[in-house]
Amino acid sequence: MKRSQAALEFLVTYAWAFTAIMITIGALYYFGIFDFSKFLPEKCIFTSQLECLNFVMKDTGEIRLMLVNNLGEKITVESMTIKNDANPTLSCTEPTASAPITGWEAGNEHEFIFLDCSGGGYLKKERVEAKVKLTYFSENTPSQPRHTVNGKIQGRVS
Amino acid sequence: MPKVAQSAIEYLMIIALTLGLIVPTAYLFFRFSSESNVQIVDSQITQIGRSIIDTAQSVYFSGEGSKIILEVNMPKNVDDIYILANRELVFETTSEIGQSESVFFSSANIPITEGSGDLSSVAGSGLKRIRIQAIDDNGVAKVLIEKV
Repeated sequence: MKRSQAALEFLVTYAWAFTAIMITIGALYYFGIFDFSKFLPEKCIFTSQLECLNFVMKDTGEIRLMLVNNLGEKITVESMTIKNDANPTLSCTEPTASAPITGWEAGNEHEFIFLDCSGGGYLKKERVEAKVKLTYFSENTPSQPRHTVNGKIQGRVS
Repeated sequence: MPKVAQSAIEYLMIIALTLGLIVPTAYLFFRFSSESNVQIVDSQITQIGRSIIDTAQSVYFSGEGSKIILEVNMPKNVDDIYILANRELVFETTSEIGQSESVFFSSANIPITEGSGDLSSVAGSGLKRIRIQAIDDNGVAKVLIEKV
Protein backbone atom coordinates (compact mmCIF):
# COMPACT_ATOMS: atom_id res chain seq x y z
CA MET A 1 0.00 0.00 0.00
CA LYS A 2 2.81 2.37 0.95
CA ARG A 3 4.74 1.65 -2.25
CA SER A 4 1.76 2.35 -4.52
CA GLN A 5 1.08 5.57 -2.62
CA ALA A 6 4.70 6.66 -3.12
CA ALA A 7 4.50 5.91 -6.82
CA LEU A 8 1.28 7.86 -7.19
CA GLU A 9 2.72 10.82 -5.28
CA PHE A 10 5.79 10.70 -7.52
CA LEU A 11 3.60 10.83 -10.64
CA VAL A 12 1.42 13.64 -9.30
CA THR A 13 4.48 15.70 -8.34
CA TYR A 14 6.04 15.31 -11.77
CA ALA A 15 2.74 15.97 -13.56
CA TRP A 16 2.59 19.33 -11.78
CA ALA A 17 6.21 20.04 -12.67
CA PHE A 18 5.58 19.07 -16.29
CA THR A 19 2.45 21.28 -16.45
CA ALA A 20 4.36 24.20 -14.93
CA ILE A 21 7.16 23.81 -17.48
CA MET A 22 4.71 23.62 -20.40
CA ILE A 23 2.84 26.73 -19.22
CA THR A 24 6.13 28.62 -18.82
CA ILE A 25 7.29 27.61 -22.32
CA GLY A 26 3.86 28.55 -23.73
CA ALA A 27 4.03 31.99 -22.10
CA LEU A 28 7.57 32.59 -23.39
CA TYR A 29 6.45 31.57 -26.89
CA TYR A 30 3.40 33.85 -26.66
CA PHE A 31 5.56 36.84 -25.79
CA GLY A 32 7.89 36.12 -28.73
CA ILE A 33 10.94 34.95 -26.80
CA PHE A 34 11.38 32.09 -29.27
CA ASP A 35 10.95 34.30 -32.34
CA PHE A 36 14.54 34.08 -33.51
CA SER A 37 13.70 35.60 -36.90
CA LYS A 38 14.26 39.04 -35.35
CA PHE A 39 17.97 38.24 -35.39
CA LEU A 40 17.93 37.74 -39.16
CA PRO A 41 19.29 40.56 -41.33
CA GLU A 42 17.02 42.75 -43.47
CA LYS A 43 16.78 41.20 -46.90
CA CYS A 44 15.16 41.58 -50.27
CA ILE A 45 15.14 38.44 -52.40
CA PHE A 46 14.11 38.49 -56.06
CA THR A 47 15.29 36.59 -59.11
CA SER A 48 18.48 37.89 -60.69
CA GLN A 49 16.45 38.88 -63.79
CA LEU A 50 14.64 41.52 -61.74
CA GLU A 51 17.25 42.04 -59.08
CA CYS A 52 16.36 43.88 -55.91
CA LEU A 53 18.92 46.57 -55.14
CA ASN A 54 17.40 48.18 -52.09
CA PHE A 55 14.21 48.59 -50.08
CA VAL A 56 12.81 50.52 -47.18
CA MET A 57 9.71 50.15 -45.00
CA LYS A 58 8.57 53.45 -43.53
CA ASP A 59 6.18 53.90 -40.62
CA THR A 60 4.22 56.34 -42.80
CA GLY A 61 2.85 53.24 -44.56
CA GLU A 62 5.23 53.45 -47.48
CA ILE A 63 7.29 50.57 -48.86
CA ARG A 64 9.90 51.48 -51.48
CA LEU A 65 11.53 48.84 -53.60
CA MET A 66 14.35 49.43 -56.08
CA LEU A 67 14.59 46.82 -58.83
CA VAL A 68 16.83 46.60 -61.86
CA ASN A 69 15.72 45.12 -65.18
CA ASN A 70 18.27 42.40 -66.05
CA LEU A 71 15.98 40.70 -68.58
CA GLY A 72 17.67 42.31 -71.56
CA GLU A 73 14.26 43.45 -72.82
CA LYS A 74 12.06 46.49 -72.51
CA ILE A 75 9.10 45.45 -70.37
CA THR A 76 5.78 46.68 -69.03
CA VAL A 77 4.91 45.89 -65.42
CA GLU A 78 1.21 45.16 -65.50
CA SER A 79 0.61 44.52 -61.81
CA MET A 80 2.50 44.35 -58.56
CA THR A 81 1.01 43.08 -55.32
CA ILE A 82 2.31 42.73 -51.79
CA LYS A 83 1.00 40.58 -48.96
CA ASN A 84 2.14 38.41 -46.07
CA ASP A 85 0.97 35.38 -44.15
CA ALA A 86 -0.55 37.36 -41.25
CA ASN A 87 -4.29 37.59 -40.67
CA PRO A 88 -5.44 40.18 -41.73
CA THR A 89 -2.80 40.27 -44.42
CA LEU A 90 -0.62 43.25 -45.32
CA SER A 91 -2.49 45.54 -47.66
CA CYS A 92 -1.07 48.46 -49.69
CA THR A 93 -1.98 50.65 -52.64
CA GLU A 94 -0.02 49.11 -55.49
CA PRO A 95 2.40 51.10 -57.66
CA THR A 96 0.44 49.90 -60.69
CA ALA A 97 -2.96 50.81 -59.22
CA SER A 98 -3.58 53.72 -61.59
CA ALA A 99 -1.69 52.53 -64.67
CA PRO A 100 0.85 49.89 -65.67
CA ILE A 101 4.52 50.88 -65.64
CA THR A 102 5.51 50.96 -69.28
CA GLY A 103 8.80 51.33 -71.11
CA TRP A 104 11.08 49.90 -68.44
CA GLU A 105 14.28 49.62 -70.46
CA ALA A 106 16.81 46.80 -70.05
CA GLY A 107 19.51 47.62 -67.52
CA ASN A 108 17.54 50.46 -65.95
CA GLU A 109 16.54 50.74 -62.31
CA HIS A 110 13.00 51.49 -61.23
CA GLU A 111 11.64 52.43 -57.83
CA PHE A 112 8.29 50.87 -56.94
CA ILE A 113 6.35 52.60 -54.18
CA PHE A 114 3.59 50.92 -52.23
CA LEU A 115 1.45 53.41 -50.32
CA ASP A 116 -0.96 53.27 -47.35
CA CYS A 117 0.35 49.95 -46.09
CA SER A 118 -1.55 48.54 -43.13
CA GLY A 119 -2.45 45.23 -41.50
CA GLY A 120 -0.22 42.18 -41.42
CA GLY A 121 1.67 43.47 -38.37
CA TYR A 122 2.89 46.57 -40.23
CA LEU A 123 3.76 48.67 -37.18
CA LYS A 124 6.68 50.90 -36.27
CA LYS A 125 9.82 49.01 -35.18
CA GLU A 126 8.14 45.70 -35.93
CA ARG A 127 9.74 43.16 -38.18
CA VAL A 128 7.68 42.47 -41.32
CA GLU A 129 8.09 39.73 -43.90
CA ALA A 130 6.19 40.31 -47.13
CA LYS A 131 5.80 38.55 -50.46
CA VAL A 132 5.83 40.64 -53.61
CA LYS A 133 4.29 39.39 -56.85
CA LEU A 134 5.06 41.13 -60.13
CA THR A 135 3.47 40.46 -63.52
CA TYR A 136 5.15 41.77 -66.66
CA PHE A 137 5.36 41.30 -70.39
CA SER A 138 7.94 42.09 -73.04
CA GLU A 139 6.97 45.00 -75.26
CA ASN A 140 8.88 43.48 -78.20
CA THR A 141 6.94 40.20 -78.25
CA PRO A 142 3.84 40.67 -80.45
CA SER A 143 1.50 38.38 -78.44
CA GLN A 144 2.82 39.80 -75.13
CA PRO A 145 2.51 36.71 -72.93
CA ARG A 146 2.41 37.56 -69.21
CA HIS A 147 5.10 36.37 -66.79
CA THR A 148 5.11 36.26 -63.02
CA VAL A 149 7.99 36.84 -60.64
CA ASN A 150 7.77 36.39 -56.88
CA GLY A 151 10.04 38.06 -54.38
CA LYS A 152 10.32 38.44 -50.66
CA ILE A 153 11.30 41.32 -48.42
CA GLN A 154 12.04 41.04 -44.73
CA GLY A 155 12.89 44.06 -42.68
CA ARG A 156 11.94 46.37 -39.86
CA VAL A 157 9.46 49.23 -40.21
CA SER A 158 11.39 52.43 -39.47
CA MET B 1 21.84 14.19 -0.65
CA PRO B 2 22.58 17.93 -1.15
CA LYS B 3 25.55 17.01 -3.35
CA VAL B 4 23.34 14.88 -5.61
CA ALA B 5 20.80 17.70 -5.86
CA GLN B 6 23.56 20.18 -6.69
CA SER B 7 24.98 18.04 -9.48
CA ALA B 8 21.47 17.48 -10.86
CA ILE B 9 20.83 21.22 -10.97
CA GLU B 10 24.22 21.84 -12.57
CA TYR B 11 23.46 19.16 -15.16
CA LEU B 12 20.10 20.76 -15.95
CA MET B 13 21.67 24.21 -16.23
CA ILE B 14 24.32 22.97 -18.66
CA ILE B 15 21.67 21.21 -20.77
CA ALA B 16 19.48 24.36 -20.76
CA LEU B 17 22.42 26.57 -21.76
CA THR B 18 23.46 24.19 -24.53
CA LEU B 19 19.92 23.98 -25.93
CA GLY B 20 19.59 27.75 -25.64
CA LEU B 21 22.60 28.11 -27.91
CA ILE B 22 21.90 25.25 -30.32
CA VAL B 23 18.20 25.92 -31.06
CA PRO B 24 18.52 29.59 -32.22
CA THR B 25 21.75 28.82 -34.11
CA ALA B 26 20.13 25.90 -35.94
CA TYR B 27 17.09 28.05 -36.78
CA LEU B 28 19.20 30.93 -38.14
CA PHE B 29 21.43 28.53 -40.08
CA PHE B 30 18.38 26.85 -41.64
CA ARG B 31 16.92 30.21 -42.72
CA PHE B 32 20.22 31.39 -44.20
CA SER B 33 20.77 28.14 -46.08
CA SER B 34 17.25 28.07 -47.57
CA GLU B 35 17.67 31.66 -48.84
CA SER B 36 21.07 30.82 -50.27
CA ASN B 37 19.50 27.81 -52.00
CA VAL B 38 16.99 30.10 -53.78
CA GLN B 39 19.86 32.23 -55.09
CA ILE B 40 21.93 29.21 -56.16
CA VAL B 41 19.01 27.70 -58.13
CA ASP B 42 18.33 31.11 -59.72
CA SER B 43 21.93 31.49 -60.89
CA GLN B 44 21.96 27.90 -62.24
CA ILE B 45 18.78 28.58 -64.26
CA THR B 46 20.19 31.87 -65.54
CA GLN B 47 23.33 30.09 -66.70
CA ILE B 48 21.34 27.32 -68.46
CA GLY B 49 18.87 29.75 -70.08
CA ARG B 50 21.60 32.05 -71.32
CA SER B 51 23.64 29.18 -72.74
CA ILE B 52 20.57 27.81 -74.63
CA ILE B 53 19.82 31.23 -76.15
CA ASP B 54 23.49 31.88 -77.00
CA THR B 55 23.77 28.45 -78.61
CA ALA B 56 20.54 29.02 -80.56
CA GLN B 57 22.03 32.24 -81.89
CA SER B 58 25.31 30.63 -83.01
CA VAL B 59 23.45 27.67 -84.59
CA TYR B 60 21.13 30.07 -86.43
CA PHE B 61 24.02 31.96 -87.96
CA SER B 62 25.88 28.74 -88.81
CA GLY B 63 23.06 27.93 -91.21
CA GLU B 64 20.48 25.23 -91.86
CA GLY B 65 21.36 21.75 -90.63
CA SER B 66 23.87 22.83 -88.03
CA LYS B 67 23.19 21.56 -84.55
CA ILE B 68 24.69 21.51 -81.08
CA ILE B 69 23.77 19.22 -78.22
CA LEU B 70 24.00 20.89 -74.84
CA GLU B 71 24.45 18.93 -71.65
CA VAL B 72 22.99 20.80 -68.72
CA ASN B 73 22.73 20.00 -65.05
CA MET B 74 19.17 20.98 -64.22
CA PRO B 75 18.43 22.03 -60.63
CA LYS B 76 15.53 20.34 -58.83
CA ASN B 77 13.16 23.30 -58.46
CA VAL B 78 12.35 23.63 -62.18
CA ASP B 79 8.72 22.56 -62.78
CA ASP B 80 8.38 23.23 -66.49
CA ILE B 81 10.22 24.59 -69.52
CA TYR B 82 8.51 25.87 -72.67
CA ILE B 83 8.80 28.38 -75.51
CA LEU B 84 6.28 31.17 -76.06
CA ALA B 85 5.69 33.33 -79.12
CA ASN B 86 8.71 31.80 -80.89
CA ARG B 87 11.11 33.93 -78.84
CA GLU B 88 10.59 33.48 -75.09
CA LEU B 89 12.22 30.53 -73.34
CA VAL B 90 10.43 30.14 -70.01
CA PHE B 91 11.59 28.22 -66.93
CA GLU B 92 8.86 27.78 -64.31
CA THR B 93 10.34 27.36 -60.85
CA THR B 94 9.02 26.86 -57.34
CA SER B 95 10.97 27.98 -54.30
CA GLU B 96 10.21 29.09 -50.77
CA ILE B 97 9.21 32.50 -52.16
CA GLY B 98 6.62 30.96 -54.48
CA GLN B 99 6.27 30.19 -58.17
CA SER B 100 8.29 32.32 -60.54
CA GLU B 101 9.15 32.38 -64.21
CA SER B 102 12.65 32.99 -65.52
CA VAL B 103 12.37 34.18 -69.11
CA PHE B 104 15.14 34.30 -71.70
CA PHE B 105 14.47 36.23 -74.89
CA SER B 106 15.95 35.38 -78.25
CA SER B 107 16.75 38.20 -80.62
CA ALA B 108 13.70 39.37 -82.53
CA ASN B 109 15.00 37.97 -85.82
CA ILE B 110 15.89 34.52 -84.47
CA PRO B 111 12.68 32.47 -84.07
CA ILE B 112 13.00 29.56 -81.66
CA THR B 113 10.55 26.68 -81.48
CA GLU B 114 10.05 23.45 -79.56
CA GLY B 115 10.72 20.20 -81.39
CA SER B 116 9.01 16.86 -80.92
CA GLY B 117 11.22 16.13 -77.91
CA ASP B 118 9.05 18.04 -75.43
CA LEU B 119 11.08 20.49 -73.35
CA SER B 120 8.86 19.83 -70.29
CA SER B 121 10.66 16.52 -69.85
CA VAL B 122 13.93 18.40 -69.35
CA ALA B 123 12.47 20.03 -66.26
CA GLY B 124 13.37 17.42 -63.63
CA SER B 125 16.67 17.58 -61.76
CA GLY B 126 19.79 15.93 -63.11
CA LEU B 127 21.93 15.85 -66.22
CA LYS B 128 19.86 16.57 -69.37
CA ARG B 129 20.71 16.77 -73.05
CA ILE B 130 19.15 19.42 -75.27
CA ARG B 131 19.45 19.49 -79.05
CA ILE B 132 19.58 22.91 -80.66
CA GLN B 133 19.28 22.75 -84.43
CA ALA B 134 18.87 25.25 -87.26
CA ILE B 135 16.06 24.24 -89.64
CA ASP B 136 14.26 25.57 -92.65
CA ASP B 137 10.52 25.73 -92.00
CA ASN B 138 8.86 26.48 -95.38
CA GLY B 139 11.51 29.00 -96.30
CA VAL B 140 11.78 30.49 -92.81
CA ALA B 141 14.99 29.83 -90.89
CA LYS B 142 14.24 28.70 -87.33
CA VAL B 143 16.04 27.18 -84.39
CA LEU B 144 14.57 23.97 -83.03
CA ILE B 145 15.12 23.27 -79.34
CA GLU B 146 14.22 19.83 -78.03
CA LYS B 147 15.14 17.11 -75.61
CA VAL B 148 17.47 14.46 -77.00
